[in-house]
Amino acid sequence: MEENKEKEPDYFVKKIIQEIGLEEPSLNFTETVLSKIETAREPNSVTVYTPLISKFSWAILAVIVVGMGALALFGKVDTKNSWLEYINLDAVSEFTFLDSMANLKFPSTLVYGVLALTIFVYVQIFLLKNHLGKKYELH
Amino acid sequence: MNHNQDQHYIAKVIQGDIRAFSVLIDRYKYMVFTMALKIVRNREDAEEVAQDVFIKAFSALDTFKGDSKFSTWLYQIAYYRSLDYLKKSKRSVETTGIDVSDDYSITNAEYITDYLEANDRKTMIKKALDELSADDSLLITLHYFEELSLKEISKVMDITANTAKVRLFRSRKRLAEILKDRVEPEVVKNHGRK
Repeated sequence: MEENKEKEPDYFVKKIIQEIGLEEPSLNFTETVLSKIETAREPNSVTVYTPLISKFSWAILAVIVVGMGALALFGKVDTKNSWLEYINLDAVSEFTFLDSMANLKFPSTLVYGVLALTIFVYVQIFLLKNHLGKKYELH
Repeated sequence: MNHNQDQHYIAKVIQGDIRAFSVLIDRYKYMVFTMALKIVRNREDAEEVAQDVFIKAFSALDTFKGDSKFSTWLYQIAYYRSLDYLKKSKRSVETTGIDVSDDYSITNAEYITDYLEANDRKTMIKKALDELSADDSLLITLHYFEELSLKEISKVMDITANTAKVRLFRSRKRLAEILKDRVEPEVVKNHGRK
């Protein structure tokens, strides 16, 4: 009796499920899928990766760098008339710019302004990070 | 049933014959679409998900080992793709309670369904199925229409075979209940008429 009670709904449900059948997708379903597959298979000039600096350019760059290095080490370059002579390097020892910085005074309004701005920027970073973090959160 | 035939077409597709894949699509599109529809509950979305399932299956076909049936493998993709879609659109699978009262008479329900016109009956059964949770309705369709074994279902839905068995039993019971609740008032109404 108990077994019968088990089997009955089994048969009944099977019958009704077979009766209603399956849902039908649109008529051109197969064609749509196939065309999507074909499009996906064609290499796309936008998505295919092309390095910004090609291998050929890298080779030329390498030759130039090695060449310059070799030239500096082994090359006999006449340095007498070097452009270095034309630069007044003595000026470096007489450098007074930093000394004048010591006397520099900012108006306090500017100091407060910059401080406040800095604080706002940091607050925004925090808020934006939170906001964007929530927006793209994965569940 | 179609296991060997599937293998034949799968091999062809892997060799580069895309057209051979259309045979597989035609064979399984109804079930995949039905599965997607049960979960996303919207025809347009289900169509999109179903297409996506086949595209995914196509690109992963060479990873299909053949130790299970192709259909089981495909339905597994369909199940997860549909759930992913729901997740992306931030909806959740609709669930219903599983409370089922103990005394129900299935014979009565069967008699009652015969009573209705075939078309009405189909609509009504579909509606009753919709009242089940997506997973339960899926379970019933996979088992009774596709005749997947409990083991295969457990693979598709990533649950144990035992859980599948219990859930199948409960949802079957619940389906019978819903049908009974829906049909009985109508039968009672028409009972005394001549």
